[in-house]
Amino acid sequence: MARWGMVIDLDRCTGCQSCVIACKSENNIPFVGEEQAKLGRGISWMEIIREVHGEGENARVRFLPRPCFHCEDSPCTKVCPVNATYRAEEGLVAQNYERCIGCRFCMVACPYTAKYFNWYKNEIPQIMKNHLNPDVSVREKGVVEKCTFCHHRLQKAKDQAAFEKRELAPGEYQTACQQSCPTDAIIFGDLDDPGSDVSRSARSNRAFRLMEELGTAPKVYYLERGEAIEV
Amino acid sequence: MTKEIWTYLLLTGVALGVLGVTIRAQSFHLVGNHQDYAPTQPLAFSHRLHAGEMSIDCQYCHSGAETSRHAGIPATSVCMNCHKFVTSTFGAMQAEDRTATEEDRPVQPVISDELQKLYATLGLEGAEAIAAWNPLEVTPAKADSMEPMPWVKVHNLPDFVYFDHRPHVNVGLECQKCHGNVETMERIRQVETLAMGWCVNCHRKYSEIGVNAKPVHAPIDCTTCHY
Repeated sequence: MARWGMVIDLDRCTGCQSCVIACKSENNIPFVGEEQAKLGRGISWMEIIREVHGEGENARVRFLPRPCFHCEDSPCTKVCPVNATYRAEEGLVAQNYERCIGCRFCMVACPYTAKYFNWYKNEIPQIMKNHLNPDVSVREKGVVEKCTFCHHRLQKAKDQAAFEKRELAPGEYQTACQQSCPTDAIIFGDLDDPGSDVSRSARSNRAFRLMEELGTAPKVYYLERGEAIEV
Repeated sequence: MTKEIWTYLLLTGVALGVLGVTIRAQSFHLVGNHQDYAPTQPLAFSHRLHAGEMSIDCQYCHSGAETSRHAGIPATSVCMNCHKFVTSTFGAMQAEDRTATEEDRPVQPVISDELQKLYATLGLEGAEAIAAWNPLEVTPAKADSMEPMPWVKVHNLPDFVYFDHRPHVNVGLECQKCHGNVETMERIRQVETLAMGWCVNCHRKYSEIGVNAKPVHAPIDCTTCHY
C-alpha cells in the first residue's frame, strides 16, 4: 500500500502563489472577503509562509508553501470526538465534513495551523458558479476543512486504473499544487517506493521536516541548501 | 354506564390508531430517504417493455455504466435508432395494415401520442421528417429547435456522496442489485433506500463472500465516497 508524501524544494520556490490559486480553484475553497480575512478567517489549504532573514541590503526572503502535512502521528486525529478526522487508508489524514460537528479541537491540536473553520456559508459569486469543481463537495458552514492531498484525484485515478485492470501507475495521481508549480518545486508520490523521485528527495541530506521535534512525523519534506540562510 | 362508553370509545380510538400506523408504516421514511419514489416522467417510457419484453441490454441505452462514473441518460438519437422505424405499437400498425387492405388504399403511417413527444423534442413533424432523420445532418441552426427530454432523476444521491458505476458494474454486480427489477417496472421506481447503511452493509458482505466467487475489496473507508 502506498504512503503518499510530498517534497517541496524551497530553493526552487519563487513564492509565485500559483499553487495557492490552483488549490483554491481545485477544491472549491470559499471566499470570506477582505474584512474577514484580516480577522484570520480566510481559508487557504495551501499557504505560503514568508520569512524575512537579515536586514537592509542583506535581507533575504524565504517562501515556505505549507499544505496539510498528513502526519504519521497526527495530533489532530487524536482529539476529534466524533472521528470526523482520522487516518485513512494509505496514511492520508482524512476530513469527513458530514461528520464534523465544528468543535475545532483539531484546529487547536494542529501545530502547523493547517486546519480551517468555515465561519460562513460558502457563497461563491454567481459568475463563478460554473467554475466549481464537481469532484469536490462544497463544505457547509460550521465544519473544519483542510488540504486532502487532492484525495479525489487519487480516487479518480484508482477507479480509472481498476477499470483498465491495472495497477496505479506512478505519476498518475498528482495534486493540483504540484501540477501548477512553474518551477517544479513540488514533488509528490509514494514515499515507500524507493525508486520514486519523492522518496529519493526525502532521503537526501538537504531534506528537513517542519517542527520535527514535536514527533508528529509529517509526510511533507522540505529541501534547502541550509548554509545559504543563517537563521 | 357513561364510564363504559368512554372506555369503549377509547379502545376503538386506540385500535384505529394502531391500524392507521400499521398501514402507514410501510410508507414511512426518514428525511432524505426517497425509497419508493416513482415520479411521473415527461414520456411514459416503459422499462418493462424495453428491458423486459424486448430484452434490450441495460447498457445499450445506459452505455456509460461500464466506462464512466455516470451510467447516463441516453441521447434522443439513441431512441431514434429504433424509433425512426417503430413509430407506434405493433398492434396499432397491424390494425392500420388491415384497414388499408380492406379499403384498398396505401398504408398510412401511424404515430402514437407518446412517441410524438419524442419526435417533438427533435423538432420532427410528420412521418416524412421522421423517416428522413439523420443525426449527422443536425446543424447548429436545427439544433436550436430541439429540446432535451426533461426526464426526472429517480436514483439521486446527495451532493456530498461520490459514486462511480464502473467498479460496481465491472466486478460483475447486476444492475438489479441496486436498482431493483427494472425490467418489470412500467414506470421506474426507487426500490432500495440508497442510504449509507445500505451501501456499507453490502460492501461488508461482499468483502467477505466475494462477487461470483471472486474475492473483492469493497472499501468501507469514509473517504471512498465522501470528499
